[in-house]
Amino acid sequence: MRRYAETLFRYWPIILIPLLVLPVAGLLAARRTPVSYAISANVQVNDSPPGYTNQYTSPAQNEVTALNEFLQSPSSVGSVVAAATASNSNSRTTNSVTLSTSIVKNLQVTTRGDHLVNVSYNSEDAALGTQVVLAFITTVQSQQRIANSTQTQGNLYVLNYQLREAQKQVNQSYKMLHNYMDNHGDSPSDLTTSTISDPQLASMYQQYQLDVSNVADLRQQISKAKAQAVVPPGTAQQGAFSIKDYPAAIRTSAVKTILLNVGIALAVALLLSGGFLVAKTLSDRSLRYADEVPELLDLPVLTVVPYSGVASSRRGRTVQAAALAPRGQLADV
Amino acid sequence: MALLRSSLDKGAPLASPLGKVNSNTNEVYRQIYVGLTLPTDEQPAIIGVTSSISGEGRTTVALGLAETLAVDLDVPVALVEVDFDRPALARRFDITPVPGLADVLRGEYRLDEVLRPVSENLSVVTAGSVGPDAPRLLRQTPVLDPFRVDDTMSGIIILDLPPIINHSYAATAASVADAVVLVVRAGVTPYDVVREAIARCEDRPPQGVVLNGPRSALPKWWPGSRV
Repeated sequence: MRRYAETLFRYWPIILIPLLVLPVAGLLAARRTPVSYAISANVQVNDSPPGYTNQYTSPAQNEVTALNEFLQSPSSVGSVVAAATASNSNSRTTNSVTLSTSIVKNLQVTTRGDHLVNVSYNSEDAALGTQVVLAFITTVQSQQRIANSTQTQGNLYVLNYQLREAQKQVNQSYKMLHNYMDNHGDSPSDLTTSTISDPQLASMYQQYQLDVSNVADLRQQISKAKAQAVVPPGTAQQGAFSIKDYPAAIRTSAVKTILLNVGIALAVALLLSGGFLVAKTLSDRSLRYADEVPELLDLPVLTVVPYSGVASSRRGRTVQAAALAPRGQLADV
Repeated sequence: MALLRSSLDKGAPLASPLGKVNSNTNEVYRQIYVGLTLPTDEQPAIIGVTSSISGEGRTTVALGLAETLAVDLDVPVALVEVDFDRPALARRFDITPVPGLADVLRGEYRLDEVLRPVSENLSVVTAGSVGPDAPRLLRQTPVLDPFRVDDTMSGIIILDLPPIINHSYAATAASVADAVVLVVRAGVTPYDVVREAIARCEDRPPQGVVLNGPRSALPKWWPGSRV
């Protein structure tokens, strides 16, 4: 410990300068950082988006997954940029490439519950940042409507095909039932009592009823799908993905930035100064105190000759040269 | 040097090698002498002052020790320069560098013939005419032992030895001393270098360390700040 203190007091200017200069530099750098705004909006999500219907995760989590993939797509981001710059009334020209990069880097989507998603974005321009968030939400809404519509059309096609097959099945089971009844002399009015005594007839009649029920069910699904396909855009989807809290811009506190910068600068300064202190102390393998002599050399100290400034400085340079010179070389006394 | 000469002429107290009389400085060197264990039956008693590497202040310590003992003791004190690579005593005392120890080791002189009195009770032997045979002379020093060979010397002899790490035969030369003092420059010499120097002196291990010039940057109120 004494050795470290010795080094500290001996080289205090070298140790102190980084501790003074770097935090001041950090403070000055922080004050030069431009003002930043944090824009945030909350979106209500009732249903998972098409293609992201993981039943083990909440609709909000599925939506966040979809939105993060949306941000990976350059064309999608380009749509957002186009929408934002078109609606931005700011006379300052906005570089689209810079804005795209900024959106990919700074725009964050996170869950705030099972049905709530937060969209946040940092920008130096509060108005532009607000437009970016709004443009993002509306672009996503529009794309999801298209996806829903496409899916609905696909569903209708499949359902119609299934209905045709089901109707064929009904006709076939009706023919089989009718032929059986003709062969056995059963009349349609006695069908109920005949099925009690004839298990085969009962089975065939049950199959026919199932086929009829299947057709009815399919017709119902088709009606529902048709109804979804004709709903005007913006009405049916409002419940699935809609703005709950409109974007609000909050100026980022400069104090935090300043504290962060100064803290980092101070940490670096401590590292530099501390590293110098440790390195210098560990590299000093000379004897500095009389009580070190018995410990290190196992010899008693006969006396201590006091330090004499001028003569010692001249001798010191000579001794240092001798200590560094290869053994065998001569040096001045 | 003018101060030294004038003090000799007038009989004034000897100026220290650093230029002024300082009782605190002399006390520092007294502590070296007091801390050593010297044989009582050997004459002269030989104290060797060495260091791990050059520039740690061993010549200054040897000078200070010789000067202090010359004032304190009733026996003659001689300071002998054994560092043949960088002889400095002749320049410091403004005396001719030859003849000196090298000439004695070659057999051309006796030691008492090359002694130069520089003050009351203090004599100096310079390195002498050093040639390419300096390492051989250094290695032969304990064998020839010019300090006791013909009983011409008495009192205390202080040897300004060469640094241990810089010279291969420095540890061999140090073995001629009865007690060896190791000078370590505080805050400069790595302790593993000092350990290596101590390990090389296995024939005559140092009896103690003189810590030269420690300087603490700690404030006075810090515990353990005293050097």
